[in-house]
Amino acid sequence: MEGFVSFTNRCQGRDQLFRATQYTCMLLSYLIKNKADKKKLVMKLKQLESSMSSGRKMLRLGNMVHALVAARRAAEVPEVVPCLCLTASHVSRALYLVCDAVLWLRSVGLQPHVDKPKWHTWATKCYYCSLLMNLARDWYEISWRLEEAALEEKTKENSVWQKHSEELNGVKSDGLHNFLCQLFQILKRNPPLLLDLVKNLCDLSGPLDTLGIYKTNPGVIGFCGILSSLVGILTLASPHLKLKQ
Amino acid sequence: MEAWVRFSAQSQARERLLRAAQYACVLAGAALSRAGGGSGSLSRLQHLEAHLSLGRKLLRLGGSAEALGGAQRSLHLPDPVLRFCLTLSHLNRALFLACDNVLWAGKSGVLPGLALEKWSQRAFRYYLFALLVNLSRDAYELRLLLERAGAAGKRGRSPEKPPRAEGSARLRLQLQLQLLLQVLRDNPPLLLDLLRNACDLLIPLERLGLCRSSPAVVGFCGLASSLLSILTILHPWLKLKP
Repeated sequence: MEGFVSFTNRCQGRDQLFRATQYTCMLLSYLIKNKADKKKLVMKLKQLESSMSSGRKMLRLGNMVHALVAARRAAEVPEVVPCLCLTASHVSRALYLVCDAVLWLRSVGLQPHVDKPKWHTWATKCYYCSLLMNLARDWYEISWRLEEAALEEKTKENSVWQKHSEELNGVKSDGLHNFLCQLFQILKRNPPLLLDLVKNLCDLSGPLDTLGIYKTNPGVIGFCGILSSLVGILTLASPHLKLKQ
Repeated sequence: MEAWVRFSAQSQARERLLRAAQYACVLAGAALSRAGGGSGSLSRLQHLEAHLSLGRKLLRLGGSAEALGGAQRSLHLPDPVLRFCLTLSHLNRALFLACDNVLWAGKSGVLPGLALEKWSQRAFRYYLFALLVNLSRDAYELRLLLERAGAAGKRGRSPEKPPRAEGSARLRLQLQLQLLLQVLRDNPPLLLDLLRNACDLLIPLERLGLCRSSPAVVGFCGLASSLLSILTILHPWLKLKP
């Protein structure tokens, strides 16, 4: 119970739990929507999903400051590529949160004349941009580790005997297979990087669908949302699994 | 900006900010209706207040676990009166939060057939009882401090001076009040806790129909107690321990 209390005392912990609940409702209502006797349950699930979504919007008010502080911190990262990617990601996230706050003002009735579809599209574009920047950073982390691994392989293969034996056996290394093996090894050795990559890829499904780039269905979005929320909960519960920024 | 990030990362801090905003809406609504404001603005304020209230209820989901943890910890307090008061207060708070969670389910549509008024009354009864127990605890702490201050005062006074007969009751009352103010001034955590509980008391009393008051007074008291809570979060030394 102490663990639950200390986890939920932080706003992020609560937000991830609500997010997981929201996407679970989305997935469940998609799975049972065609069953005739489950209409009431589907309605309740949609109500719960909507409550979680609007509640989370309210709880996010003021988070644009968090994003700007994170952007300022990211600007001090020594390596160029992560510095640029992380700063751009946090700034995009701050802009997304500003659009989100405007949408909240409209939903609450304080600014009824706000053009909801326009601001929703802008919010999604900013969020999408932030995810792409995160993925670029993940790719940078993977690529320098791949280069390091390839360099290690080369120094091992530089022995004449090995070259000779390869010629004799006529074995040719399969490029794609090798690459995938190395990628798998790198991700296995770096759980924070793997989790961050999985989270960002899962989060991508929502904006891709909203912006019409890659249409899926609420079931897929719900499933990906649940997965990314679980990763978020895991990284909050075990901070050593969070990719260092 | 860093300070805001640190402050708002705590769920309790956000909940208090939302509470302050909610009661500010109540106060603003009362001021607007007195000033003859338009029904459009009033309904917008009421709509905002309802949203803030529901948002706070969402944030309080699972809060009973924390209250039960508090009750468990207060069972180990050495002082029997404090042990009794704090444990009872935490238990009532846990029950209030459980009813509050049920109310959230009803208002958000998860349990559409719920008797909202009945559960609201139940929640406010537990909240009222928790506040009364908190105020008893404050009174007990105050009494201990007054006794200590009174004893220290007697030691300092010369034993040969005879007490004056005439006006001595009024003088005694004046001295007691001065001593009370002195004790409260020297103990800011107790003063803040007392003020907060006293302000909060009006809300359940009004909602349960035990005391008639205006929305302006309810709004003012709610806002004042929320601001005092925010103060104790910003400056933890101002929080009454245990």
